[in-house]
Amino acid sequence: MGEKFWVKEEKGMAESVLGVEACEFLITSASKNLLNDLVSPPVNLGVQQGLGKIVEGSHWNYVIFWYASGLKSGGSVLVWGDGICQDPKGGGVVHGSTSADGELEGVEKRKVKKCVLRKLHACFNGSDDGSFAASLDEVSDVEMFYLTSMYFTFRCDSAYGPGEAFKSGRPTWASSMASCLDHYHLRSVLARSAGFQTVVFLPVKSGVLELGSVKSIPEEHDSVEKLKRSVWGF
Amino acid sequence: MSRATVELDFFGMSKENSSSSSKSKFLNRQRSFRDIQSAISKMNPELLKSVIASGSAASNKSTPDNGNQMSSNKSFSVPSTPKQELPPFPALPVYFPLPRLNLENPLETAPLTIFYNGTVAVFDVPRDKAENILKLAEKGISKTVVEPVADPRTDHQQKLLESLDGDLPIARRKSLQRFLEKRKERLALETPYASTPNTRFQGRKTMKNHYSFWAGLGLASKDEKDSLLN
Repeated sequence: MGEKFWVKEEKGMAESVLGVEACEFLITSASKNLLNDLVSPPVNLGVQQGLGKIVEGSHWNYVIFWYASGLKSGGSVLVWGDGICQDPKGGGVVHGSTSADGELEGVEKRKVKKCVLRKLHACFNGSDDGSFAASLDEVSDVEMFYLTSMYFTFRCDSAYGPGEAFKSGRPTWASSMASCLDHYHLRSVLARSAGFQTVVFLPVKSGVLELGSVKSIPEEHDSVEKLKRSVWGF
Repeated sequence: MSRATVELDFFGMSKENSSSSSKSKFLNRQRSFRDIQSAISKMNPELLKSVIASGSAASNKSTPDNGNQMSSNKSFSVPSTPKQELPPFPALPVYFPLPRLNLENPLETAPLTIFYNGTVAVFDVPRDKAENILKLAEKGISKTVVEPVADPRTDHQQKLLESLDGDLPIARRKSLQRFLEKRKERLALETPYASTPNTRFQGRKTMKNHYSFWAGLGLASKDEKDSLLN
C-alpha cells in the first residue's frame, strides 16, 4: 500500500504545514485504521441543519461535531461526525489566498497545502483519488485547518480539546489566541496559521461541538445555552 | 491490489483494419499471442476459474472462417465482428472446442483461446487439461443455474460493506463533499458579478435576497433554490 507510506519529501511538506507532532500523529493514525474499531460508526447523524443554524450569519468560521463512540478494543474516542466551514477568504474567491497576517501567499505554499491534503486523503482512504485534489487549488489556512481536522481523533480521557470537554462534561471557552493554541494542542500549528482567536468545546448529546473564529468572541452568560438551543432545540 | 481487466486489442479492432492483409493479421496475432500469454501468466488463476465457471459452452457460435488458415497453430478462427456488434450476452465466454485436435503425445500442448466479455485469453494446455477446463465450464453452467442468484451479489455486497467500514468513512466523505460543493457554489456566484461592489460571499442571507443569482445559475424551481440553500 504505497499510499500509507510517507517519503521524506512528503513528510517534510506535511510538517511545514501541520507541525511535527500533528504529522506524526496523523501518520500513525492512518496506519491504525481506527474507524474499523468503532463500536458505532457515525452514520446518518442528521446534525447538518443544526450546525448550519449556528454558523449562518455568525462570526464562527467553522463548527465541527465530534462524534463519540466506544472502541471494540476498549475505551472511547471522538471522531469526525460532521462540520461546516465558513471562511470569507476561502474557496479561491479572492485572487490568491491571504494568510492570517494579510500577506499574499506564494504559489509554493498553496501547492504544498494541496499536496498535503491529497496525501492525507490517499493515506486515510487507501487510494489516490486524483479528482479530489483537483478542486483544491486555493485553500485558505482556515480551510486547511478544517479539512485536516477531519483526520483527527481524540481519546475521551485526554486532557485537551474535545476529549477533555467530553470527559468533564463542561464547556471550554477560550477567547484569546494564546489560550486557544493551548486547547488546540496537536492542531495548534494549523490553528496559528489560520489565526483563530476563539475556540469553544461544547459537550453535547453523543459528542462534542467545536467552534472556532478568527475573531475574539467573549463568552457571555447565555452563549452556551444559545448554542445548544440552535442545534438541539434545548 | 487492482483488479483491472486485461483488454488486449487482439485484432486491431480499435483501428480500421480492413486494409490489412490476412498475412499481416497473422503476424499481428502471433505478436499478440506472446503479449497475451505474458499478461495471462500474471493473471490470477482463481479469477480465471471463475471466468470459466460463469460461462456457458452453449453459446458456441459457429463462425465462418475469415480466411485465417493457421492449421499449424491449431487455434480457433475468430468471428471478425465489427466493433459495434458486441455479443448480446456480455457475461459469457465463447467457447470453441478444437475440432481437429490431433495430439500424438498426450503431454503436447496446444493453445486454448477463451473469449470473455470482450477480452481474449490464450493458454497452452495439454489435452487432458483442456478437457478438464471444459468439464469445469460445464459444471459451472449447471452450478449457476442451481445456485440462488444472490450468491455472487452477497459476496460483492460483503466486500462493499467491508470497504465502507474501513476505506470509505461515510461521515468524513459527506462533509468533504459538502465542502467542495459549497466552494463550487461560491465560485459560480462570484464570477458573473466580478464588477459589482459586493462580490464577497457574506453568508446565505445575502444570497437569499439576490434572486437574479438564481436566474444566472439556471435554477428554475423553488425546490432547486431551497435545496441549494439547505
